[in-house]
Amino acid sequence: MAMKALPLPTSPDGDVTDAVLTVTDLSVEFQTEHGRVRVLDGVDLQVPSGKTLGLVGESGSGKTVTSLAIMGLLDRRVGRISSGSIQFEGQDLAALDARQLRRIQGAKISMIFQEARRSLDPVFTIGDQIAESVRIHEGLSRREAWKRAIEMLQLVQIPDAERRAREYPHTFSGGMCQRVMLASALASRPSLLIADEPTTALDVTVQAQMLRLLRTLQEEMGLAILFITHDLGVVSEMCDRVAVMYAGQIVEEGDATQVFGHPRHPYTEGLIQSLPESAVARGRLAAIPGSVPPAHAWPQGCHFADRCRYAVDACRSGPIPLLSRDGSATRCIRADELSLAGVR
Amino acid sequence: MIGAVGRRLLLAIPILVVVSLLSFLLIDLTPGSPAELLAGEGATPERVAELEQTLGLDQPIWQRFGDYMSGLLQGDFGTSLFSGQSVGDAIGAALPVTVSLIVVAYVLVFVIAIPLGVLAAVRRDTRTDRAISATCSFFLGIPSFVVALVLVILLALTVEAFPATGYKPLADGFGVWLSHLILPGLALALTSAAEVTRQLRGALVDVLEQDYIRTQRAKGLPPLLILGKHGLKNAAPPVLTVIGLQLARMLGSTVIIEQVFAMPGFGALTLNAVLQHDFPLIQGCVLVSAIAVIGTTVVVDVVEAGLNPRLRSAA
Repeated sequence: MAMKALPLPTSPDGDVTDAVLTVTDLSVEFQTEHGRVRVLDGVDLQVPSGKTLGLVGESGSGKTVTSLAIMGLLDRRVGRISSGSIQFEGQDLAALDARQLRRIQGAKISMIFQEARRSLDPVFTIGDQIAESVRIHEGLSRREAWKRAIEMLQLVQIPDAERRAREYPHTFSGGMCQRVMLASALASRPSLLIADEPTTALDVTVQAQMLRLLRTLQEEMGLAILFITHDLGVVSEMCDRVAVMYAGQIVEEGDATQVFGHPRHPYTEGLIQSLPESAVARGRLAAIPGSVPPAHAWPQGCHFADRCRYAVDACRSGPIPLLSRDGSATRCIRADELSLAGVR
Repeated sequence: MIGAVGRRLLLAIPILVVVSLLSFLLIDLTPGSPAELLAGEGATPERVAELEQTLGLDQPIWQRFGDYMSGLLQGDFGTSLFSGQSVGDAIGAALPVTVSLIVVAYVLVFVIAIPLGVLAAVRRDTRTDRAISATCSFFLGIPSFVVALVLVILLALTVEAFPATGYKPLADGFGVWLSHLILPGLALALTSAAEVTRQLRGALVDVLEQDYIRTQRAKGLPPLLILGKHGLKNAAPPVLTVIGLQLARMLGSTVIIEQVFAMPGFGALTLNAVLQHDFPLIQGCVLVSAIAVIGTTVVVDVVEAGLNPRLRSAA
């Protein structure tokens, strides 16, 4: 399903900004009990350099598969990239072999995960875990790498870094573990950070601190972030642009304030209406009926049609392209005639 | 760390006392008096009474146990009823044979089980994995004496690669020593190797699916470093427990293996002691086995604590 690439995102004064990561028509297939199933269907994404792209959607929409595919971390025994390109710093990551990818993983693109504590090896000190990747990527000596580990722990504001570097993950709180993960991810000064639900497992105050820290470090390091979450509140706080994902496809993409203020896809409207604040305003929880269908059962036409209150026959007749206009895009053929409710 | 070892060793003492008491009670729990058994069928009651007196069996049990324990504390295990040799000397002569055998068997277990277990885990759910699992089930299912006999027929009688029976001490040369231990060592090792392979595969498969392994891949670490450093260190504790438990199993198996290979070891000594109702010798053998097994458990515990920072800080 070839499709034209999205136009480059534009800055407020109309200049074309350069993207650090450009994903074009990315499809991923999994080997399942239903045979070979396409779980990502022609995903287009651009992360502007130094900016944050939010990737939102329900669980099962393909956000994590997208991030793993970009990182080259798909389990080769079940999943493979079947088409598309992942352009990063002049290279197509989808075409690299494992050895070439390892020079980029953790060095130029890093990733942090939802369960920070479970993402740290319990039997090594955190200093060791930060130091080992800079030793591999930058060929630093043991002593230099340890020094870097401590600097990174100070950078993510872990108090008493020198002592804590010698401690094990179980002595750290969840929020502190996520700071450690961040220290490890940023140790080799990557240009892109993929953050997969990094604050979902944290309580609200810790979550706010973490987001503040991320923004500070982003400014200091000129870091681009692909921020994956199902929490629209976090997206509006963190992200410059947002891509909404549903059932393996990007259904809407655009400037974050634009997308939330004036959604152009019924699924985005549904997500916004499921926000607790909107629900309180309307006196009910306007969740979208049903759930994301499994990948082997995706319809031929619009993937969202069966849960969409605006669906017409034309929605089900064939694949719906992602239509772009004025630096934003929607995968809804009725976008222009519908007037959808945004965040008020 | 040293405090933790000391504490575990202190805990071992009451266990050893209970073990000696139980083995001591064997005398009184066995039907008929040991003196009757010793005197043989058709002995006169006078002869039996006389023997009871020489053996001290006419005294109450608590007194006999007290004497036995105070002897133990001075390193005196008693005297064999039949050979008249001291139990300590008899065990001391037999032990090097069995220790050699078990050392060789353990080396073989490591050499066989670690590569196979790692291979099966890395290639999980492939044909390689299934072939290794099937082989393990096969060796877990057949008794070690059958393996021993097959090995003797194939590698000692048909090919004549190794001697079929006997034992030569290390003083006769490493090669000679080893050649006599390969077949019995292998017979002893295969069941344990199968068990350890399965445990290692299971533990490693579990570890390799953990989030922190994905993190190491995201850090761009080479697969061998991830497997060797993060994989094995996390998978080691349950496998070490199983490796430690193999000592008890192997000690049991030496009883038969040493018969098959005509080796004058500890297993053979124990078996003869039992067949002859040589109670002091039986007690000595039971005690030495218990010390070996408890000692291994302590070593395994200490190594595991060294690998696991959570246990280490709790200790």
